[in-house]
Amino acid sequence: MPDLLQLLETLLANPWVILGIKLSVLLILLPATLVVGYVELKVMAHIQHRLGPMYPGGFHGWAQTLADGIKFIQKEDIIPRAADRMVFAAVPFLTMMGAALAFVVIPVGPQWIIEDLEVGIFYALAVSSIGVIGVLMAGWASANKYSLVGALRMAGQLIAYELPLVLAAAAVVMQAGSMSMVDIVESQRPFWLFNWPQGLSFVIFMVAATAEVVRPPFDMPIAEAEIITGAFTEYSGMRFAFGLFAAEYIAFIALSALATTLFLGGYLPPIPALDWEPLRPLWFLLKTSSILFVLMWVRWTYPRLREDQLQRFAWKVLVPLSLANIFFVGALKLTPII
Amino acid sequence: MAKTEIVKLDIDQTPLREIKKTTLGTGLLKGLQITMRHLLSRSVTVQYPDEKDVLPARSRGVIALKEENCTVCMLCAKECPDWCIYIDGHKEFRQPAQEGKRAKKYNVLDRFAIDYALCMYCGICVEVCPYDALFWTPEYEYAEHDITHLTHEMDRLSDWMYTVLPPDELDPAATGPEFKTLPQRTAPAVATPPASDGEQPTPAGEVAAPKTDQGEPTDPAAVPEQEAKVTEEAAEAIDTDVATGEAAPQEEAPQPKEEAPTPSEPQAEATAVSEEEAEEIGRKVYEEEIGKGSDPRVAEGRRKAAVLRARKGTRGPGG
Ligand code: SF4
Ligand code: SF4
Repeated sequence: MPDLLQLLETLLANPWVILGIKLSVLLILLPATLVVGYVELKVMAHIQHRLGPMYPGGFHGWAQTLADGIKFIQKEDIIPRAADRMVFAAVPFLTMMGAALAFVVIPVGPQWIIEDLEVGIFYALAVSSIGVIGVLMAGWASANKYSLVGALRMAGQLIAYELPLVLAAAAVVMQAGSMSMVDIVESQRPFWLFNWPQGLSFVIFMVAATAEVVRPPFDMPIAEAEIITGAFTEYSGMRFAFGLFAAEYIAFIALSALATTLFLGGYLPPIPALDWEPLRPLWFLLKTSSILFVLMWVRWTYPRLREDQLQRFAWKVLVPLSLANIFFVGALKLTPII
Repeated sequence: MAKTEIVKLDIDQTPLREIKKTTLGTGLLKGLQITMRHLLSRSVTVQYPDEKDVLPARSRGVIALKEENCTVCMLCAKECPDWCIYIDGHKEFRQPAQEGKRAKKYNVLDRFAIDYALCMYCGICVEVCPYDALFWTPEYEYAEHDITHLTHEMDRLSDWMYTVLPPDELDPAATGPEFKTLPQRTAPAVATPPASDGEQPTPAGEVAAPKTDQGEPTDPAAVPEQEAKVTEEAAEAIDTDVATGEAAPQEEAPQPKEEAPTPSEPQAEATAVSEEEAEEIGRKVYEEEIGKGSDPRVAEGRRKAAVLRARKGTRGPGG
């Protein structure tokens, strides 16, 4: 075993290997959205007593999302005549970029991180809000009232939920005393599996994150029954697939990974005895997948809220709660617990 | 004056507010619990083309037409809420039996079609038909690439007839056979043919054929005699039974025929063929149908019809 570890260490010391790993993280992201999308189809189906996709690819329809992607690519690319072509076409890049950039600072292991920025969490929360600019652009460029309503709902939702999200993360930063993601994970060593002093922050963060990635029950910006697909009503084919689906799932994975890092001890194993370097990405993946699963479960359990309920909940419940939580964590900070 | 009695009803007096009271958040957790339970239970999907559900016997799949029973009364077409039944017919006249009597008119069915692209399977046509000419069958696999092919004409509607299931067994407590008068009327017709030729007992199917050697028109329907009408009815009754797939009478009827074919053979009319030839024709029809890829039940039904026709010496409907 020491040989293997040594080999790994020499490999990790090589900048080219490091670069390869960093690139592969980005290359893994797109297939990961396909996998998450597929699992979501299956979870949804089984909650509804169905089987979900069963044919594509042979075994339990594993290739369904891949086939969907190929189908989207083949579709005609339609841009409405009244649309602002440049802005319209730029949208998928922005939404995708905003979602994918957050992965730069997510530590899959202490060394398995693209860049351990000093202001890691600050950066992650900042870039995850870029997507909404894309959505707003889509709303204005489409020349469609549903698109505009959807985009404005999206902007309103982001403003309302970004606050509790940041405040919940701030509590964790207070605990760790650092904004670097690796430091945050290491500060959770005494707690290993669940960072319990941050229990309330975790709940607030998850609720706000669900609203942030526009997943039910907070999916009013793309509520089909009311405003078709919101800002993406006029999008079709590949632009739709990347602008909406891929971006949504990448943001979904990013926020789950972020929650894992902030609250579930990131790459730390569930019990200290299992703390072995090569296994760390596995723990990280397991924790992230569980969060993904729970969010899917929540999605297929609750109905969509109304727009006013959403705003009331954010401003009257979540924001005061997260402020109180900051005081609570501050008080804990004075005790030897953290 | 009757005294009004005051009855105290046993109503649950718990206020609604009390029932509804729950702790904050338990509803959310209960929701999660329910979805998780459903997630872990077996899904109910039937992977249709690969596996097929066992349908209840009385499933309503498609409507079959018993062409011979239809009198072109148009009731079904008029009652159909979707107006998707198309019927064409014309009148024909039956020669009077005796000089000076009026010629009887009767309806002949030319076209009967149901447009299943419009039909909503309400079953009103089946209910309303006074002559038992329409039946539900449990078949449901008749999707088409071309919507116009969903209009099933008389031939396809008649083919569905071969898939109609036999009627349910009578309830044991039901009034017994003495309630039915029809079997009593037809029974002697089958046992002792009314034809005065002194023939051996032959089933009703063959009775119609000997009628022709009395110098009457070949069309059995045109036989004016009273007795002939009785046999005709008997023949029709048995025909219906055969086609509706009524298992018991259908099996019984042809069997005596095969047991004692030879005595009636010499007297048989020239147009009617021998038993073996009839079977041979039937087999050919069956093989042809199977070769065409027809449903085995349809092939079997066509075979039976061909054998009966060969025996009678008639050609098919419209022939
Ligand atoms: S079942 Fe179809 S054809 Fe018959 S009455 Fe109803 S709609 Fe008309
Ligand atoms: S109601 Fe029956 S008998 Fe009358 S036309 Fe329709 S199918 Fe024929």
